Amino acid sequence: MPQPADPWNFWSFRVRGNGGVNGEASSKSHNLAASTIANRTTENWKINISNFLNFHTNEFKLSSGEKLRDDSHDHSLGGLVVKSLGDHWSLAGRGRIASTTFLNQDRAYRTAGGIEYSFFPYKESSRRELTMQFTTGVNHFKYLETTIYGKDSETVADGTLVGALDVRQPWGSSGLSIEAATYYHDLERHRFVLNGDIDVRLFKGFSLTLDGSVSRIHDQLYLRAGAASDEEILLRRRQLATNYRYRFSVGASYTFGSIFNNIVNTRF
Amino acid sequence: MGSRLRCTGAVLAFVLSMTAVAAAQQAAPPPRPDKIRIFLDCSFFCDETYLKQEITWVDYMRDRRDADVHVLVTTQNTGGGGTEYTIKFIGLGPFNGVQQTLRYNAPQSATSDENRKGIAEVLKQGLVRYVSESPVGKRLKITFSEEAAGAKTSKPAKDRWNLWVFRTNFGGSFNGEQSSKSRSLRGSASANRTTEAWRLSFSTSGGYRDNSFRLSDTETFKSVTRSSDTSALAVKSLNQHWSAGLVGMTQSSTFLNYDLRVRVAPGVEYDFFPYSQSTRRMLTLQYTVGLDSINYRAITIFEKTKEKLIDHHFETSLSLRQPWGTASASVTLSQYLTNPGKYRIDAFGSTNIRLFKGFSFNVFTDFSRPRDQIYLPRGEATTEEILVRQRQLATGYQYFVNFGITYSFGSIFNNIVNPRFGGGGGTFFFFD
Repeated sequence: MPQPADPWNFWSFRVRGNGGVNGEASSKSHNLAASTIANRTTENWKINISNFLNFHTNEFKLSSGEKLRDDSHDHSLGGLVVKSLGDHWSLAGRGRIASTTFLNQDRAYRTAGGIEYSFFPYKESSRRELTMQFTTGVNHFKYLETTIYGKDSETVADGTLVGALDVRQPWGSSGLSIEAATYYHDLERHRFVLNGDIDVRLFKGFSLTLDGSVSRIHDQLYLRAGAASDEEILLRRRQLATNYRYRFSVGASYTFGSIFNNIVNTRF
Repeated sequence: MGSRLRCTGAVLAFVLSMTAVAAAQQAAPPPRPDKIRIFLDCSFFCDETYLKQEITWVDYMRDRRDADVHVLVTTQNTGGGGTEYTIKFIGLGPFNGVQQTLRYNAPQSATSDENRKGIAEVLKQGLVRYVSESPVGKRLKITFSEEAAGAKTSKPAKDRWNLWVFRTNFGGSFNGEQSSKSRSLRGSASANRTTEAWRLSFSTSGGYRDNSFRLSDTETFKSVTRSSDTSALAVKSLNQHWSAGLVGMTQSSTFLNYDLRVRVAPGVEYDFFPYSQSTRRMLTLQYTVGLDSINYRAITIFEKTKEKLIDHHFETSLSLRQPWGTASASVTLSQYLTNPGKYRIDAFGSTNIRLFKGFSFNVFTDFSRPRDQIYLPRGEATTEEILVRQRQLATGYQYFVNFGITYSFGSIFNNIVNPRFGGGGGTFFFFD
């Protein structure tokens, strides 16, 4: 591709900030989020650097007159560099620093490398994509509070294998992915995730959407020792211990009647 | 950019017309009595209302099987943070096998108006291929002037449903892990008939949601909410500025303590701009007077289990969609005439503006003074009910403000798509 004069040399940047407040007599909340993203995308290399900051506060006035306040945050700084190796292979390096109250992580550092194979040429990706990806990395976690395993901080290595299929055709679209991940120091600390979705027009006027995910979870190194309070549970303030997670949704719509659909009338 | 696109379009139109003539000589498709019928398959990417107003020389069909051309629009994020729209034209029926793919690249800084204009231009270019083989193709060669818009009002040839359109939707979702789970179900149905002279709209919907939280080994808190609504609307167009309408609704809601609320209200609406400009600008005044009958689920703080009331609503609303961005605002006053001390004032405003190249600003605000909470149930809410927002609580005010700014800069060459390692890199699989 001829290189046109581009003083930015393919780099593009985006800075975004948003915030909100809302309230009434017995409750109020405010949140603030900011992000910065720098990207350089060419056929040969892809570089992403991103930074996200999120703050959230909820306040409630209970019937007893007592006030309850809940603060949480979720911050991260990450980088991804991808090198294209022909029409089917890619190599990537990743780094990340994060801090998340939900996961009891004061600091989480990660550095990782990965390789991806695409069964179809990448240029067909808007129609069909079938990829296998392996990533392995080292993490250092510093916890907000001591974990159920008695740790205040730890350094662990992990590996993740992901297979993903995505198809987008005139009849609809569909995706399926399988993920297996484990920490190397204790293979009991692993997870499996299966995701699938399909959005299809079954017959004239009728469309169906299915979306689901099931996980087997045995890698919650971050769980805080001690029981969570009722407020923490009801407000979903922190991730609680679990061996599984599921999510399933179904949607169907059927439209019939006149086949003409031209007139715009926005009155009332 | 607009003029360049138009120029490209003209050249393309010419080239494609020539190709079309050549193709027609090989195997002439049967002539069609009316306009080309397209099925616009665009999810939420396109402003369909706008396209229908701008491109009036085709018929928009609800289903691909009725169409001559299936227009499939998909998007991908490009390197510079913009969006690449892939517009695939798939010929059907007499055009079977006639396909082509065009692309429109929207820079990240494009406003929604620029976006829809760009998509419309590319859509026109692609349709030339098909329209040029139809009787309307002759007009295409001469001019694309708004003369063709006159055809919009011509009654569709045959329609056994007499312009009625029916929709039904059903959805459910189920989530869970060891200590919490939730389920929700919802359904809706609607019937609509829209003509220039009348708008008839009927809809009904219902929803159920429950959340269970395991607080300890022996204690579980479960919250259940249910709601259902129906509404009916008949609007008669009086002229380009005035409309008369009749609004009916029923509502049942655990959140608002309504076992059943019924409201029937006639009203009028005035638009300072002609309604035909509604996708670009609207400034309306609307006044309705309603009869209310309410049955409560639990006895209210005013010792009522049911009551009948008369109310009135006055709403002023502005909505603008212009090249610089969008803005809308409204002020609504409602009051129970049978109990004038019970009223509500609601002010809403929202805008999304591009202040200068690459810099956009949006804000959404809503302020209410609800002095009409006659539905509040007697008795205090429990801590759990308050935390999960199980029901509306007493309040003299409600506010909601949300703002956002975005600034993008750097390389303007944003047409490259590189899907390797899952797009943005913002998605990170690991160990949440």
